[in-house]
Amino acid sequence: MITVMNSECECGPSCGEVSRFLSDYSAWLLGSGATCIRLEKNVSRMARAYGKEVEITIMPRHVHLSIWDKGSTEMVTTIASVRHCAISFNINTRLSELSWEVADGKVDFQEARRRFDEIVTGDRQSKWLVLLLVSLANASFCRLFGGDVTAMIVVGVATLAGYYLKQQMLERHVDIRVVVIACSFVSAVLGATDILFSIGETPTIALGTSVLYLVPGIPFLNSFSDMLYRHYVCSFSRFIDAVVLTSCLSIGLCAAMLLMNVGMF
Amino acid sequence: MWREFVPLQNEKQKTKELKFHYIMNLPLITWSCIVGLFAVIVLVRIVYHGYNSRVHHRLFEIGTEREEFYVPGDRMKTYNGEYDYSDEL
Repeated sequence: MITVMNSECECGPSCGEVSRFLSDYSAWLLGSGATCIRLEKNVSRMARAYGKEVEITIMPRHVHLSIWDKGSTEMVTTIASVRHCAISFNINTRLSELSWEVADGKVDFQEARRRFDEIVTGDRQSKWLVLLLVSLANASFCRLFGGDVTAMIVVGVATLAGYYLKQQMLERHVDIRVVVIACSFVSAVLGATDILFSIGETPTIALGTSVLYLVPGIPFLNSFSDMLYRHYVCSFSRFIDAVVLTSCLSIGLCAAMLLMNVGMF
Repeated sequence: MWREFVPLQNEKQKTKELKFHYIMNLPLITWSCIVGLFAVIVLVRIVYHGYNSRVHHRLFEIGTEREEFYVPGDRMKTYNGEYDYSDEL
């Protein structure tokens, strides 16, 4: 984080303190999967609550904040790098709630800072529960697409294996693109069990739905949301990220289909 | 998945048959490798966690009758055997 101070402010929390807090806040909010418009609104709301004016520039990997006192022409500018963390709607929601509490005057600056630290360090979900729920969700997707019970079981197991591999590889900081290729390959191979052993009535649906959990839905949605609010740079960046991940998913799936002698090859 | 054996007419047909069997074996080999790999990974993780776990849970244990069949109200182990008036009842 780089801070450029043009002036010192004397009332309430200083411009420097507010600037550093809001830049940390922005970095975490954007990294957790929030859209640009949400970030703009939250930050503006909190800055006004502290009696400051703010201008924010949102780039794909950095956030620039300029904060000044109302009526003053001297400002503090801060640049923060967007946090690379897992998308978490829990953090997203709680940070948004915090912004409302600050705006309503329910928490002062020190308390807001403390609550913020608590939110970003306390978000720990049980990875086994997530693993189980993702498997069940993907099996439900299989059912939605018309899969039978056998296909659902196969998809559940394939998702369990693929998501477990994803968790292990991400813990070891493997590049996300390699992770997606590997996990889609593994899930597709296991999803082709129905085809391989000729069991069940809907083997192709099992294969097709076994990799759905890897589809980057949130980056796509956020990209369109940013485009609607004319944040074209972030929109394009997110769109490209999503396209790259989808391509990696396709590579893994096609490799599996080729080796399993299935489909279009 | 498996074709029954037919007498081969010529070399070209023989090559075709071998290629067919190779293609049909490859999916099974791939599937078996992936399943085997995962079985090994899961087994290794279980053994690793079981070995490094701070609390060692013994699978088989011989306990005292008191530990196995405790019912609330039983005399605790710390009871020193002093005469209690309720023993008369």
